[in-house]
Amino acid sequence: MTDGVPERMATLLHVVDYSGSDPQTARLVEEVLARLPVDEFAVGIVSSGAELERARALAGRLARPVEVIDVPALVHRFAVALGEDAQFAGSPTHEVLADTFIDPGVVWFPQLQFHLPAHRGLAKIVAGIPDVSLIEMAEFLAEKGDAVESAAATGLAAMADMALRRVAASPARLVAPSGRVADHLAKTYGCSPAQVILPTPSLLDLPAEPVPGLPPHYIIYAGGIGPLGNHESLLMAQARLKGEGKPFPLVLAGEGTSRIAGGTGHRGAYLKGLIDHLGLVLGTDVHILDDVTPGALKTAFSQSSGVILPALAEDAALLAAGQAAELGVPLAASDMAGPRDYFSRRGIAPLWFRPGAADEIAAVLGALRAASPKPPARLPDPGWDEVAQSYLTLFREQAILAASQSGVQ
Amino acid sequence: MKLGVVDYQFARGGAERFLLGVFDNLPPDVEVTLFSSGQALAGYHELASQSRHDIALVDQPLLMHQSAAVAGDEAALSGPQIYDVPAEIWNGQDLVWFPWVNRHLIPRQCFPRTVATIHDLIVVELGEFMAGKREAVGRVGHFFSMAMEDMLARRLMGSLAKVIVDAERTRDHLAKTYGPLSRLPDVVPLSTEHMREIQPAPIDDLGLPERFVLYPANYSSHKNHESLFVALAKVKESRPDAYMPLVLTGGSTGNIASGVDYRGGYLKALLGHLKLEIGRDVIILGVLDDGRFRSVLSRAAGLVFPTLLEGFGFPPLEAGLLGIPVACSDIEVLRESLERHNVPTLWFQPGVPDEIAAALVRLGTEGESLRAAAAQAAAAFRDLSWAEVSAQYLQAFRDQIMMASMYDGRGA
Repeated sequence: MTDGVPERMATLLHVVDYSGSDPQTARLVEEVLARLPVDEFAVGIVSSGAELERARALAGRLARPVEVIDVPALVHRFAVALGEDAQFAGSPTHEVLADTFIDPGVVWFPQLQFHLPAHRGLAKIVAGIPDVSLIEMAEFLAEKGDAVESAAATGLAAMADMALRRVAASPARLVAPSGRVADHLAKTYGCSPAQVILPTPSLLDLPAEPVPGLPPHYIIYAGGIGPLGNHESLLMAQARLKGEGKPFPLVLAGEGTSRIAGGTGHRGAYLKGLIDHLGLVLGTDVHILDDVTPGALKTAFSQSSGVILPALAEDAALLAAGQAAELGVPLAASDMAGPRDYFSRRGIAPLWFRPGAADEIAAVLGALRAASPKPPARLPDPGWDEVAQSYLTLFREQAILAASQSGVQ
Repeated sequence: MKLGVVDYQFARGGAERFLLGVFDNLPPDVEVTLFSSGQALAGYHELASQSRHDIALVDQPLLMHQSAAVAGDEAALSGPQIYDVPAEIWNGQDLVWFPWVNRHLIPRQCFPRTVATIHDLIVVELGEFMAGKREAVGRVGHFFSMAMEDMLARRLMGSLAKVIVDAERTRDHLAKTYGPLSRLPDVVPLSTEHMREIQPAPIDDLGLPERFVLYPANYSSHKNHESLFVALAKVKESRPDAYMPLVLTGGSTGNIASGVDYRGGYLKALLGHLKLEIGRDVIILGVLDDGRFRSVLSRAAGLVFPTLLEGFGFPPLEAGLLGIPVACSDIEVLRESLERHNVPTLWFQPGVPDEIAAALVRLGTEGESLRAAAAQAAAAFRDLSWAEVSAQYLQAFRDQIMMASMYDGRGA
């Protein structure tokens, strides 16, 4: 009591993350927690195993008290069996047990995927759905993988779909990072997610780092080599131009691209085989940068003739393309709802092509190389203050809802 | 017609009767090749030896998807398997039939030349409930099964495959859950005709009491033994004059007596808590052959069936056919089948033990009149024959071959 006025108890917010979020989501957690009013929210991070270290590091960086709570989850794995042999496949799904939801007033899953929350806690949940491509593209992903990857893609899609159905049909609040994902959730799961757009980390203010060995007049694609990266269509377009006597160097950056050079793993070997089959030459036509630092990526973008984004999903490659656009580099992108949504919001007008049409990509590549760069400029984007304010509102609303549902308000 | 049949599960009981009923009545020009592996294939060797139709068996091992529960460094594979069916099975077949399609992952390009029977989707419909009744490893497996079967059903219902179900209720559920559908599933009810042909076998050695009620069902949680046990205890305590012991038959019911696994242990403990004695109040017979089951059913004062959900529900119909009084769950699918045959039924809400207890009391006190009504209804009981069921399947196969040939652009 203070001067006869009862002190308000801080709402206990638990952040649940057993799987380790992507860099953008990890940044979201840090930026939001840093801005939550200390007197209004007490914060804990619930995790276990290897992810605990990451949680402790985050807690150490924040200038507010954050409790790191080790609560083991029941881990579901997929396995592939042929006869007596069985092998794990894909990422685990963490069943978050009912006890986890007893103490906190609000439970935030920054990334719901790979988590299966207990029914008991649904009313307390604010759940981020960064993307739904694993579910939407499950059959495509299964067909593009080897036997183990195929089983993983199928199992992950089924579990993620079930978790989404469970949460979407509950009082939990879903949060989508784009209109495209929000529309998909509404159409497929019949829910009304909040839409909180996250800022793209800008490369403008970073010092450029040297990148040796870049060829002259190249086009660059910065995206992971997963099947949704759609490198095959791009390579086919490149080969077509080479066959027409218009060769150009293509630089590939992004997660896993070194596996193309080594021909390692199912996907790496497939893409390397495709490059050979198409008559392209690694080191001459196709240059591999691998997953480079932001400063190196800035250099690679800035020195390129253009950036191309043939991806089939809005993932990290889309953000990279947005970073390149701020540097003034000409851009061509898949004509899909996700990129349309993202680029129009940021005032970017790329050259569009259908990602499955190598002819269109080839035509666009020609136009891209002829396009003139623009001066670097900051493009419209929300700030972290705005994002944190949106989450603050969501947490407050959900705390009230959860309290009313439990009859303890 | 070259008919490929694919099943890697081989469920015992009703499924065997269904398969024999369909196979035995197919015309000789239907060449049946059955693809399976492992224990399921062993079951099919047995079934093929009983069938009047020639069945070629092919051992086709395949990739199986499973789940595992992991805690720390320990991992345990959980039961349910998803069968990744290779497309090469369709080579050389006019059509492939999945008589129990659940848990089979069908290649997308093969859907047009596929007929799939969905007997039920209980694992999905009651998934949360059933998972909650399992221990950790079982729950992991159950959630996996629930998620996968849901996804497989979603793909199947959105495909060009023909889907056949046993009951209108299942058809309506699929349409509501996975629709709108361009083609509704065909409804081909199963036959109970076989029950007339089964010769009763001696059961003196079973030591059955003079009067008893029978619940033939495995011990899966959707069978709802717990409500029945609570009801039985209530009757024993409050209406000893109406009380009759309960006889359980069916796969895995032996685990209730031994308490060897989680579910068995739970139900055994529940019986102890309710002061019901195994062997006296609850007599557990396990799996019986057809002849002995018919004899037990014929001697029962009534069949009680407190299930939460079924795809078809053979036992109440079989009891109705034999003129045995029936008390059963008031659920859509049982209403559909029992009312179609005018089987007099004592209905109860399966989640309300008081209602089950009231039905047990009536079976115990109104036995004579209930048996007379049941006998009268049995005399008028006319069901589809297995030949008619098989003919409907044959027509569905032909229709689908026609559809597939149009789809392939090769003409009929």
